[in-house]
Amino acid sequence: MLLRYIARRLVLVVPVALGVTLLAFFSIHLVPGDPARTFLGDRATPQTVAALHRAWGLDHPIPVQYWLFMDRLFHGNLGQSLYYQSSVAGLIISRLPVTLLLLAYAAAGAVLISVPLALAAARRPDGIADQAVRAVGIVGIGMPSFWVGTILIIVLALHAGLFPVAGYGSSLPGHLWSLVLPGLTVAISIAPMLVRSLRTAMIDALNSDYVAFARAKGAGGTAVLLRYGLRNASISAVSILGINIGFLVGGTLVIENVFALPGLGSLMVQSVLDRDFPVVQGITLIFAVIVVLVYLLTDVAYALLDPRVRLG
Amino acid sequence: MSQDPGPDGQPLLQVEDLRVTVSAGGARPDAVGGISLAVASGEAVGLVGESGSGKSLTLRAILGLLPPGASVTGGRVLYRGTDLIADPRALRRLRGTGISMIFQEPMTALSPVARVGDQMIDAARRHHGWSRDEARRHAIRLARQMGIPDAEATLSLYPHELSGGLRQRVMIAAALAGEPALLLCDEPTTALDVTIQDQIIKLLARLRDELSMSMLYVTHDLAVVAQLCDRVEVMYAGRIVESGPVTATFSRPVHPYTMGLLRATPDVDDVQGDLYAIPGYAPGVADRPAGCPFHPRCPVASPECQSGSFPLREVGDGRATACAFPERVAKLAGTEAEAEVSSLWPPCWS
Amino acid sequence: MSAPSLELPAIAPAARTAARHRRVPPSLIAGAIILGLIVAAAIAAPLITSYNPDQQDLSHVLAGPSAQHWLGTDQLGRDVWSRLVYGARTDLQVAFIAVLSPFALGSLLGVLAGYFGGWLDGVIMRLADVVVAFPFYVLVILLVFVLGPGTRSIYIAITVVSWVSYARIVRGETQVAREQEYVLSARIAGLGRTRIILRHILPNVITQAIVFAMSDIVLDILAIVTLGYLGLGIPPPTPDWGSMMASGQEFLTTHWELATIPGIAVVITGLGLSLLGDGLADVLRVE
Repeated sequence: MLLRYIARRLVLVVPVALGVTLLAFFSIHLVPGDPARTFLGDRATPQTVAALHRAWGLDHPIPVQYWLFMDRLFHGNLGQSLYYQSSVAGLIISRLPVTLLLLAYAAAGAVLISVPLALAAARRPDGIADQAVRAVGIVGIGMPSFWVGTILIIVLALHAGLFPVAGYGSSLPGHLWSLVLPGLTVAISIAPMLVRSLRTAMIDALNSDYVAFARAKGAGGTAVLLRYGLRNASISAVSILGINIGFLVGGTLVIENVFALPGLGSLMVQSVLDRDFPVVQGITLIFAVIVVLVYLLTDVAYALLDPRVRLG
Repeated sequence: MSQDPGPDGQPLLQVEDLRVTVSAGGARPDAVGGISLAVASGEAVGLVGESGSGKSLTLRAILGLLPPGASVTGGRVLYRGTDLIADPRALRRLRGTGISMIFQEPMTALSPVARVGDQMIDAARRHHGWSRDEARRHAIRLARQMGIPDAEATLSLYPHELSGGLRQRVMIAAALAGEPALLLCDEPTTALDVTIQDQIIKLLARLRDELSMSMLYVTHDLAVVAQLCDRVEVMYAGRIVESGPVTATFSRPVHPYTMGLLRATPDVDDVQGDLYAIPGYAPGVADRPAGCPFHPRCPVASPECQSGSFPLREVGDGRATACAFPERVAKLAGTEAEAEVSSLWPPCWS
Repeated sequence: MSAPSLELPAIAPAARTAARHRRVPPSLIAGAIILGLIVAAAIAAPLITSYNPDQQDLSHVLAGPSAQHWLGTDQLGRDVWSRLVYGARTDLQVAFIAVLSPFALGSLLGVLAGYFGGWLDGVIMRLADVVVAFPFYVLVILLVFVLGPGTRSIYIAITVVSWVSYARIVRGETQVAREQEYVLSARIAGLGRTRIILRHILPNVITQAIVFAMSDIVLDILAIVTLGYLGLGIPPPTPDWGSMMASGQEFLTTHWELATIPGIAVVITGLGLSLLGDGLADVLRVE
């Protein structure tokens, strides 16, 4: 049952993955002029341009070009960075750990912040806690993430001196410590959205018939909340968290620039400013892959948690 | 199951002038406008009415399980003398052990992520402090009592893996695990198909006898009430309009609405007969008419019915009615008045 | 079969209209006031500021608040208050325009997908899935890179990324509306499909899209400001809250207001828009 479900999910991912590569492939053709020149930038000489024309089959019809593109992709060839004189794939691999670590911090922070707030709000809808949470949420949604980061830097790094103002640190403990503020920033900036969705899911769970029945047969207050309400709400919570991964990743991209972290996000922005197309295209693909993987994992987790799906 | 009339013969459950308000965009109309009823030990009382009459809310109010937006704004609910509205802690202790409730749709009343066996005895287990094995044994015993076949295997399944009838039995078992003296039933057979309905009703009847259990059974189906209950309370627009023993009430009603309900119940022996429906619609919570709530649809209403209050009054033999002119109903019920009734309440099809 | 969870007694039509006429939600009023003030300030920019936002005064750099410069000056001696107000003009203008084409495109595709179903629905939804696979900023930045700097690229990038939400909302509403009696009777009467869609379905499904557009404007403002911060947004020297905060970041230790005050403006604008959107949602909600 479960394997069939996973298999079905994987099959559905294929067209999306194809679409992602198509978009990445076509984006270079949107730039006016010869794609080879765009790709080579300053290194464009008649010889290099001609070589790239051959390698990419630019004189062939588009489907052939796409085929060659996919072929290169499967061999891990994302091109050479114009700026850094090294392979794009290599650059990405060296910067990936920072981004992934930041993502982990941000995800953990988001959960730790949003879940208790949503719970406090959902327990007594329209009560004081709920109104406070909703008020904070409505203000929070309008806060730019980098602004939150700036404020945190001012308060916790400059004035309190607890955290470094920017940068990644030089040792493992340094790394872990310097990611706290950035992770917190991302978590705070997506918390309003998460809390809103989680609160609705929890209210639905708490008002449901199964909670009413559980109370009717005598299951005690907190036990009912935990056993019935939360367990059922957590299934939709996992979905909600998974769906918002796109915003989480986007958030890390911006925040890496605020805190000067050597991750994929800051590399991407820098490469746009440097007109380094291969890097931009490569990072775009990687981010899309991360997001799609997380969607897949969310679906699997959902299947594991909900016996209705697991047992078919 | 104890048969406990109480030290002074007081009823098991006494509801006095219960009032439930719902919030409807700023307005707060009465969904239940001051009803009183009583359930004695070992007695099964039916609470009948159309949708929107407030009968489900009454049950929920008794156990303190009103949905958000609804709240009790008056009256008392006495269980063995203790006012459950004034003493929420006593109410919490009583849930499952003194009073319990079964719902209409077991698929939504049972949590989809917990096994059926756990859901059956988790509350009782907490209450009695059973160990895992003791709990298992109790669950199996309970399942067998409910007529659930192959108890051991069934208990480890999830609700969606069972048939509708089995789910309903599981829910009943879960509600009775704490051995309550009073079972509130919120239309438990409405969502089932007819053959299963019959099984469940027979199960409930058996339990009522074996366990001397009291029941307050909410439904719109008079036939079920006739099968299961000793007494019946008829609700309309948030009020009780008639009350009395089942046989007497159904054969000689003393309120026009009860009369209409009875005529609207198809007679299986008279397939060629005409179908009646009470013309008009039951009023929504916010637009209940002044005077007698039923007067716009009543065939024997007169100008006096349009204003004033019409409380429930006793008319002897343990019966009560809210109609000011019960003799008119009695006239309607006589077979000589058949033609008159037909002209006042024309059949739907002929 | 009645719904599983307990439904409160339905309110009859008479009471319903009475309830709707009863009060305007306070959030709508508050939001309108806040937003109104900001928009008014942006429109009246020349009247309420005394300096040109690009006017540099290198003899008065990084000055604190004073009578001539209400919010002080930045590192090039430009008046912060003027830049703030003109920044409002820029950012609000771009955001309001930017929300229009995703709204139009998304709603159109949503109606088509919801009404016709079948392969058209499949294609549109797959397209949506592909767009959603890219994190918002990643795709926007890629498109801004490819299309070159400038506001036109921003409009196109936001359109490509944002149409999906509108499409999904409108598609859902259309699928419901399609089965309603008024549509079925129109079809029986023989009305052409275009007519049905335009006259019967579109007006009824568009309200949810409008409500969403209100919150989408907030996201667009954030996107524009963020792009400005990253240096990828509205090109200088046009004042923009994002680039103001970026250049202010150098002076966090001494003049932190430069980096934070424009952010407060964003938050307040977002608050006004969100309140307005919530109020609108309340008013338009079908009971």
